[in-house]
Amino acid sequence: MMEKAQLTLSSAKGLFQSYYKQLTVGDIVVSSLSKREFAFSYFDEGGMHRHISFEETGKLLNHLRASSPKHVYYSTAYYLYPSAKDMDAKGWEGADLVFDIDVDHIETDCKSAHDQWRCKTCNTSGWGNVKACPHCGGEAIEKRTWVCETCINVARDEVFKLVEMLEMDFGLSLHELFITFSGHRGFHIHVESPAVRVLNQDARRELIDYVKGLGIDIRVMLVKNKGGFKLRYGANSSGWYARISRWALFMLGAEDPVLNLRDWEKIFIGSMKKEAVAIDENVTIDTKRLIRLPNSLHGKTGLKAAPFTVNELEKGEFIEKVKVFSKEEIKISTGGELPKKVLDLEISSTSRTLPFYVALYLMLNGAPIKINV
Amino acid sequence: MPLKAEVILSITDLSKYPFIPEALERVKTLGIELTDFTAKPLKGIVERAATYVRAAIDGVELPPPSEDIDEEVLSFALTLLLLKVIGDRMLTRRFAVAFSKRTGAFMAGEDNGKLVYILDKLNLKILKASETKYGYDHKVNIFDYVNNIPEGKGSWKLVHRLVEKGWVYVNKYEAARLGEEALKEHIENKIDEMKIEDVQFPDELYSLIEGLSSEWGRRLKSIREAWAMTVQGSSEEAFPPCIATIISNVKAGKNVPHSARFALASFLLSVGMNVEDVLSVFSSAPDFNEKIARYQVEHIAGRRGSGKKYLPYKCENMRTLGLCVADCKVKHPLMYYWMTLRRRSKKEEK
Repeated sequence: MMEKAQLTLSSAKGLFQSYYKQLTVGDIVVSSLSKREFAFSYFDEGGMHRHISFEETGKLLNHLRASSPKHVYYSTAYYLYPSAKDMDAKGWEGADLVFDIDVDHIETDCKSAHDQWRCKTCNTSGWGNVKACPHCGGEAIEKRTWVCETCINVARDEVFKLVEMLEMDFGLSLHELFITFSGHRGFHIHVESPAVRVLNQDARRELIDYVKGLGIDIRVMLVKNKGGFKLRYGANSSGWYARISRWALFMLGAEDPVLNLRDWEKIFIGSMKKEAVAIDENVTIDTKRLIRLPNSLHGKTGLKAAPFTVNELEKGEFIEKVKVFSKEEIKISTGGELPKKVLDLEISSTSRTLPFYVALYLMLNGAPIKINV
Repeated sequence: MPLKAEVILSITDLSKYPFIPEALERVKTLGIELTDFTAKPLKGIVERAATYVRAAIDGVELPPPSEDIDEEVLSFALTLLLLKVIGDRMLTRRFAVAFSKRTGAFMAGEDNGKLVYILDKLNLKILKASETKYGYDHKVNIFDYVNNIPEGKGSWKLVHRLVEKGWVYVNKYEAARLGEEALKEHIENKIDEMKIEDVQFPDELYSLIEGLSSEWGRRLKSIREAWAMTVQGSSEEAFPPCIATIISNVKAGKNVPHSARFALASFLLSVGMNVEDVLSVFSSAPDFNEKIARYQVEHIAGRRGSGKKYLPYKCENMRTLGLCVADCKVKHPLMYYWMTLRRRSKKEEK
């Protein structure tokens, strides 16, 4: 009888290869490609290979087919010399405005079903999300996080809020927004319009604060009125004033009320909780960021960083668009507890088979699982 | 060819705004060469340009523009050239600030049509609002607004503005203030882009440049000495709360984000610690890798790459990055440090 073969991390490279082999030039959707820096990490060697550039899409595609990288990134920045080793010698010419929505930064109920932590101090471990070890209080925590459909829906709702803000407030149109799955726990929203490329870091910080509702000062936004306070610009206004006014209408039935400061504070906090978007500020403020290449595979999930239109997100066709590998049930064996819920699947502790794409995700992201093929 | 600018700007306006392309075009047609500046009739221009550079060196207000349009426009162009040859970014910045301030006062006094015209020349997209909203009669493109925002707090802060479909409502004074910021950058870019490799300087101009350059050198030395006086050796008790928090997190073995590591390393280097000192602070981090850490700290210290020394993030950016932990009423973590030290040394004197 033939011995069962096991899928290993290095044989996963072959799977990635089969994906990149069928990729076409049309799948590489990077504008001004020759001005971008590319970076790769591979299955068979550690570290990140940076400062690489390609004259044309075809050459990048050849490289992807030949090397089947584990991760592929490109710069949000445009450079005169994208392959220069020294960042200051690259000749920065501008950068896309990019927003990153990642459920790592958002509290969700599903985390207790799939996220794991381990305290580096006392070795206690558990499920869910903790900031400090409940046993010893240590704050050196190691985490292994997973994504499920609930997470994706939460991230998707944040995308909708952001898109609304970008349209209504920033005046961008839908065709200027390029949305992709990040490959793991969220979405990237790229804006490439010439007007945003020249934004400096301070300007980007100001936009971040706007999107997150940071620095909103109740004293600046209110004016004294008849023994109380009202919004400086009330009903029929726009921006955050309109958001706060909307929340006042929802909570109190009046869109332009006169209230005391304490009541206003509640309205402000409520409005911010509902309307502020949970973006990762580190990504947006960085004008030299490397970000995952759309339509490339994520080395820790085996999922595709697929582009999405708002319409597609609304329809909720998610897994089908990002799943690359087959649904075929394959035999697995486990050496420990698996997360109870990942992607679109609930996993019971007695499961002995899993759809291949789920098993691959578990293996790539370090779950105690062996895949027999 | 009639000046297009004359439609809106009178010819005398050009001396207030010598950076406007039409003004520069006008002097180009005069066909003046650099050697002509040494001849007597044009000496006034050289003197005026030197006055502008000296005002920037001394950090004082610029004198009002010349009533002779051509003299003003030529002096402005020559000032930029002098600054390019002196080649010090800080001096250039000081001139840009002083010049923009003078111009800002003129802009605020213009009627709406003129103001919009001038701002347009600075690539600041601004429209007269179709209807006045809460007293605001203009609107500025949102990206131009944030790129030129004078300060990221109070009524300027974008969250506090009337923002609608890509436009931010402003009044005339705010528009002029945004123009001031745009002009600063315009001047710095103009100087950056100048090519001087092929320019032949007559001796007289060259000795002027040398003189100004050494004046600036002396001034810079005294500025630096004044700074160094306040910072003799680093003093951990004077660290701002944000930096102290990062240090205690690192010491506790917590995983601190890259942005916090950068803030800490650049801060410690700025207050006089050397690379080894900084590395020893980081050595308690759970994922400390000496090789990588050394490379990064040396880079921040300006010992690698372009030699550019990095400063810590200012408070606004610390806050956005989630690293700000207190309301210290300063704009920059280093400012907190120096002010605390200075306060302490004054106390000791007493």
